[in-house]
Amino acid sequence: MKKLSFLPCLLITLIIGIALEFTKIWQLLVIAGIVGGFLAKNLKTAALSGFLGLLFTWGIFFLIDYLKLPGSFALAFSNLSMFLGIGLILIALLGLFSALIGYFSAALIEKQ
Amino acid sequence: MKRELIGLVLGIVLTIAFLAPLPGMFTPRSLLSMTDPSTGIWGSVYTARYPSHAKITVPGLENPVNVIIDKYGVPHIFAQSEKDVSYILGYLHAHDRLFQMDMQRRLVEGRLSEVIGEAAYDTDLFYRIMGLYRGAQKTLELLENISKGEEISYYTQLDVNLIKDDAKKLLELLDSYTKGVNFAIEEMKKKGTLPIEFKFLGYEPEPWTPVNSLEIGRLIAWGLTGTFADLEVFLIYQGLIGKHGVENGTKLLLELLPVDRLIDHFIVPENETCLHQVNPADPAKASFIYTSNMEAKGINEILKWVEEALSPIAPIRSMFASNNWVVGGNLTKTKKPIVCNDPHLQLVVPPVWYEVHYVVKSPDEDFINARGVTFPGIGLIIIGCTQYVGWGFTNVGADQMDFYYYKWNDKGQYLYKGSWKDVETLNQEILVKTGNGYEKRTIKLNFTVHGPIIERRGTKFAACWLGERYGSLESLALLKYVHAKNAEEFLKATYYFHTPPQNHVFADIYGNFGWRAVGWYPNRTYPNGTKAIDISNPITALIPRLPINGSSENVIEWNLNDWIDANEAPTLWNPKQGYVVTANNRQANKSYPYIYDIAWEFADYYRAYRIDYLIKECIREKGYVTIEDMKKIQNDVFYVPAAELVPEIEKALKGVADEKIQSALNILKEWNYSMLPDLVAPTIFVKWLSIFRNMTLADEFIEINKTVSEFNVTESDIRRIVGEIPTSIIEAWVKFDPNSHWFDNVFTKEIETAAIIISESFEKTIELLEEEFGEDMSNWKFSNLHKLNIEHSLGIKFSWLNYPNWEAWGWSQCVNNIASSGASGPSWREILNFNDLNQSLCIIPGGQSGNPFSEHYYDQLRMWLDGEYKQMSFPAAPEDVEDAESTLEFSPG
Repeated sequence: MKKLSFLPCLLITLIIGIALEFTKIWQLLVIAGIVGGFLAKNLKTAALSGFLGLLFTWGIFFLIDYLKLPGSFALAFSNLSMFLGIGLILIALLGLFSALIGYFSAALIEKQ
Repeated sequence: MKRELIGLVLGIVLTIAFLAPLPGMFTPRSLLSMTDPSTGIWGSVYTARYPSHAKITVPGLENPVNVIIDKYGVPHIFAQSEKDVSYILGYLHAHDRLFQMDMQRRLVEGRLSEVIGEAAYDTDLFYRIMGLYRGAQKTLELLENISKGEEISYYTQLDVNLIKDDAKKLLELLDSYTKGVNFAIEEMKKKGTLPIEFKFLGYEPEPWTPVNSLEIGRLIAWGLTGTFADLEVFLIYQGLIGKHGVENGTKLLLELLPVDRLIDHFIVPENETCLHQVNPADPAKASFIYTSNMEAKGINEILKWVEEALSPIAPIRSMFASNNWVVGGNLTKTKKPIVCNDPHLQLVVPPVWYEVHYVVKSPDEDFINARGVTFPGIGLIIIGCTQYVGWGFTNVGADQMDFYYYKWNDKGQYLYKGSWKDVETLNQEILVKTGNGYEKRTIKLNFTVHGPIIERRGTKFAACWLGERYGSLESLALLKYVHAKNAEEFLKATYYFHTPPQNHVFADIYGNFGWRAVGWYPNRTYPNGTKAIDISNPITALIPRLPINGSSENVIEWNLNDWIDANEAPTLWNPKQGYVVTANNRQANKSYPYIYDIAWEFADYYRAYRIDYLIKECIREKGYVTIEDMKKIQNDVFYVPAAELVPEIEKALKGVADEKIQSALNILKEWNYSMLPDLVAPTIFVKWLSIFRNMTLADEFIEINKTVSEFNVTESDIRRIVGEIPTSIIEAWVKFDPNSHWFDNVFTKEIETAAIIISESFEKTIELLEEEFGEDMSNWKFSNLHKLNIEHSLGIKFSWLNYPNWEAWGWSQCVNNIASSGASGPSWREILNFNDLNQSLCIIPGGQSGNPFSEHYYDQLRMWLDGEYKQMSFPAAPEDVEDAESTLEFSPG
């Protein structure tokens, strides 16, 4: 199987992430991380694309929120900056962990 | 292979750790759920602002309704029926204040610990015992029975046929309001836009029910009539009797809490005719002699438990104050009446009031153009104005709550009217939220014939509170108020306002104006029907202020066939004086024969006197008052106790050479008695008054505590007890009885007088202020002491939900009565201008929205603090609304 470099992996994670976020079940985002990791050519690529892929997924949704209601969301983000930060870090970590699953699953399949 | 396996297992474990439902609020899973951009806390930001234009199809609406939201977030509803107004108001209340509504119904139902946990358990237990929700249920049954034309056993005075249709209509409105709330709840659940507090606490609100609205009404009634003051007085009395014997103890109690105060200011002016239809009272034959032999060691424990139970989350408590006045056309510049009101309730986030304006225009219904404030959860205007009549409330301080104690036998039965009776019991379950679910706790509530039992250390009392025992009809009265076409019809409608009794001032567009202490007051009688409280025998006024012996053969009880109803309440109609002022002060002197029946918890004279003085000053100087004068009066920060007592301080400190004392005294001498943040004098005076009060009275109670085992209190309890003694009583001693034994320190050999205690307390004040703020007196500014403290119910955990702690003007007992705590004060200021109602004024301390991301979260707070107002207009059509921010078109679907 041909393995992908960082940018394609990131894009795939991002696109799947955005699609899954529309289901309003954030737990499903692990699928995006797993797929991105599965396709990555090395561990570093998998980890980075998983981490940034889900970080950007939520980031895009937050950006859209902000653009829809700039005043109210600016207030919300400043009052809840800690929650915003923690949320983004946690989702990025979830992306990283799920990418590990994908990457090592692929590696195991390959070895077998 | 091994490396890959380890990596895979690590990835799975870490991912599961993020997805697993671990116990606790701040696990990765709960934090991710909370912060998810699609379903997390951010959803509520979308309800921070109504869309600039929206068409909303709603089920259950009869006709299209237009709502214009103005620049302060105030909705103007234009509908064709009151039912539709109720529906939309329910929708708007839920949209803007759902969490507040849910917390309040949970508080009343004793279900806070389900969402808060152990911290709220005692609060839940307390509210389950007091049974506000039982009272709400009884009110619903009362309305249903009246709507069927059934006689009411506990209100035999009521002619139900007169209000049968009104009751039916009210039930319909309640139903419609409920549908509106539930439509909004469902909409928010579906869109994930529930208020952020629900996300923080991790639950979703249940559907609203009609009884929930009546529960909110009960909460207000509880805040204004539910008091354990009888037990506090009893505790003091037990101590005084224990130390000085019954006769002297009673005498001393009446010195501390006199039935008639030496300095007072009545609502009914001298030489004024007080209208009331009073039947001559049957005076009691016997004098009042208190003969309690009960073991009462648990009283203080009960009082402390109540205080603690109320503290974790109590949106409405300690809110006994308000001002209102009405000036007739003869004394206004425009020759038309002006009605003013500022109810002093707890200042909370979001505010207790929600402002609304609505117009009902249809061929089938009365035309109504009404504006005022509602309580979120209740779909009726409480205080406000229509195109015909305007009104305002202050609390009467009515005594609608008595405590009973009994003789008990070994079987747990109590003696009542000569026979032993079993207590009635009610088993209930309280769910308490824990780290990983709920703990179910079963509680047993006990009742005597008089009410629910509260018990501590073997001391038991039954609490007999109107709000728990009986249903009540104030909602029906409020409905009739907006239909009144003149002041006369309004006054007739007040008959149905049972609880909490309120001083209503009112005026109409025809120039009539007046006042009534509206409410239904218990008529306490002996078993043979003899009236227990006798106007010619003032000591009988103590009866409702102390627990009653429920096991006595001569037990005093409420006569349910003969309430002192609103028609017998003191009333003024176009009084000769030309205006009426009320500020929770005593209604009338003894010329009104039921004055001892209706209230004793009246406020010191200071605010009423000051308002009266300022109105008189305007009339003296100009011959009339204006709207500008009314604004100044509502925001007046003159402190009457200081004006009365600073000259006494001056006298007492004459000749004292100490430089610091003289400097502080000079600051007081130069003071104009205004409680302003930049001044030093208010700091010195309020500190001194507190120390002076304590040095005058605490020694007596410390001595009692050492010798009377039943008293058994702590130092802080003594401070609380001393704080209960009205300032005007102490002022009267200083002025008219400076050698009163209360000034003598019982622990010294010398005999102290008022002057000595004033002097000693002043020295101590300076010492303490130096310790607190340093030696430089210019640093003792009042702003260091007095700040706003307006908190959200979750403000302890999330302080950003609280309002800013800006420095505050005024003080307790000022007209602008922002309490020393900074947490209660004028919760709504209205000035109704009957020359042109569209030029009326109003303001709330905060904002319309409970959504912290809304620009209306506290957009009125600064204006309120600075004494500014916004226009209170009455546009008759949507296009007449000025500064529209949103237009919502609701259509039936």
